[in-house]
Amino acid sequence: MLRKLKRLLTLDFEVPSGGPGGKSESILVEKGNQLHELLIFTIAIYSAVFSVLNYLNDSGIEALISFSGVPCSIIAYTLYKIGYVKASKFWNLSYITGIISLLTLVSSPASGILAFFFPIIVGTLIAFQGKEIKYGYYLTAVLIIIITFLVTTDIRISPRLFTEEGLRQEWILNFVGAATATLLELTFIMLLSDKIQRKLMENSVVLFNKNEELSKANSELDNFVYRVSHDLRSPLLSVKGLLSLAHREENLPASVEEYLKMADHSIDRLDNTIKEILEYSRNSRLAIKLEPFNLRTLIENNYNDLRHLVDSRFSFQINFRCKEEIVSDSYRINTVLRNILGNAVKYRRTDINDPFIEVRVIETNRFYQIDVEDNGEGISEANQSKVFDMFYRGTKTGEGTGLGLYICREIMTKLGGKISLQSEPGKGTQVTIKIPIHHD
Amino acid sequence: MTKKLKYLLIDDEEVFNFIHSQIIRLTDEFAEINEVRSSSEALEVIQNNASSKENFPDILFIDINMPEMNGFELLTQLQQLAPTFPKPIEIYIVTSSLFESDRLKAKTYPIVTGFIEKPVSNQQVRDIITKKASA
Repeated sequence: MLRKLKRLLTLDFEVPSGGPGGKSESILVEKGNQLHELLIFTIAIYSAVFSVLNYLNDSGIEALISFSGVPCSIIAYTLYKIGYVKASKFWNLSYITGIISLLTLVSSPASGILAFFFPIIVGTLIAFQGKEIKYGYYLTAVLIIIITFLVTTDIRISPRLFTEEGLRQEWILNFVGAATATLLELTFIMLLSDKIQRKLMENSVVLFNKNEELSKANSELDNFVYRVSHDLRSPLLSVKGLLSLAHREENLPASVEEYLKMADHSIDRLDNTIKEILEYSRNSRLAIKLEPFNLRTLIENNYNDLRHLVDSRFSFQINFRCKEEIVSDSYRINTVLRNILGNAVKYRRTDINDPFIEVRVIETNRFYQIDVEDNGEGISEANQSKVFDMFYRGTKTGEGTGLGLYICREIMTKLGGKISLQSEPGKGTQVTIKIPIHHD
Repeated sequence: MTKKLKYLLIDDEEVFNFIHSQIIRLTDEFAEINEVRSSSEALEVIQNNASSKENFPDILFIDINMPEMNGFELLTQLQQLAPTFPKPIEIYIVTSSLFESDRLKAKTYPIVTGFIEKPVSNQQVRDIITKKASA
């Protein structure tokens, strides 16, 4: 019950779940923002109308206080517009208007109470969603009765109300003003909520259907990617197998041996391309899967897979300055590490005596930070900003697909982490990977 | 010399059965290799030799993507038949699948010994033989 009330007051819109929901959420929030704008606009008009009525009634201070709702609304609106206040907090600001207007209670209970309840009525109407909207109307009806009652039984002046001409005039003016404002506003709110709420509901239904369609398309795509990758790779791998058999034949002419090697190399490249396309599609389609795993083991395993590419001069070191057991998406982290360590090995300098990779892992407030430093070829400054781009290839040799680092960045973005790079040509490269510690 | 090992290769693509048998022969010259192209043929071989320790295969290579009965369905059947096997056997999933889900699914079958990416290499065959000898 309390949670419901809180949701109601903070305009926490429910969003249909399932499938990639990001888009629908943002559209709903946008709609919510439009409602907020209308709400604050209404409050401003309301305050203005009231202050004018009070002014006519010749009570200066009351008018001034009541009028303060206008700048308050404007300030709130500005704060929200410049992005200082989030949409969900915006509603709280509208309370300020209400509370300030409540000060008019000192001189006139009727207008004060009306001013106080007004934002709440609007908020209630807007916040009530779907089936519950009728309760919003019930609540409004009850509030109208209470307000009308309070207005008509203005305690302070009622005993002398019908005997003193001046007071009677004041009472009539007060009542007419309050009633007119209330009616106008309520009509406006009803129209507003009816129209926009319906629109909002329609959108939700449409979005929900869209989500259904998308998740269906997604699972079909899943199946499709599975089939295609298998059907593409199967013949490729059979050619690879046959090449390795051919290579084992005795007395091969040197030229044929060379051709076989080149063919095998081409097959590997094609296979890598298929793997990376698959990796990309997997990262964009599949949800993040958090699980505990040992980060050191993951790093070591990845280096072990590369060990056969380097000679004994090559040194590999890991410095761990935080716990080794962490919680993240091990599959995705593995893909990133494979790419980064693979690059460090691939672009090592073969003309120096002490090629190395040093991996340092530390823990900051929000991230596990992995620095992978090497003394390899390095990347020129001009290229450093481009290496994370899709299909960008830093080397002129035919190696690589230009997808590796792009996928790394996509993965780290998806995980809410970061990946960056510092490099000096001829000296080496340091890649920094930041894995978020906390998950919302 | 250790006793002759019997291999049963199960793959709908003939070329892989051919490659794998060639590679096995290059490493293990005494190998007895039986190639079948479907799960049902494989089940037939298994069931027909269930009473003969002599003819029962030692090592199975199973492909995942096969028409009619795929590798996993075959594994389910084999898992049920396992108590009737006359001797322990080693089952390797040999596949071109890059999907982690396939690897994880294979792990759920206690009878599966390993997961190998196609094509099986010489070194992998050597490892398989060493493992079998030490088992």
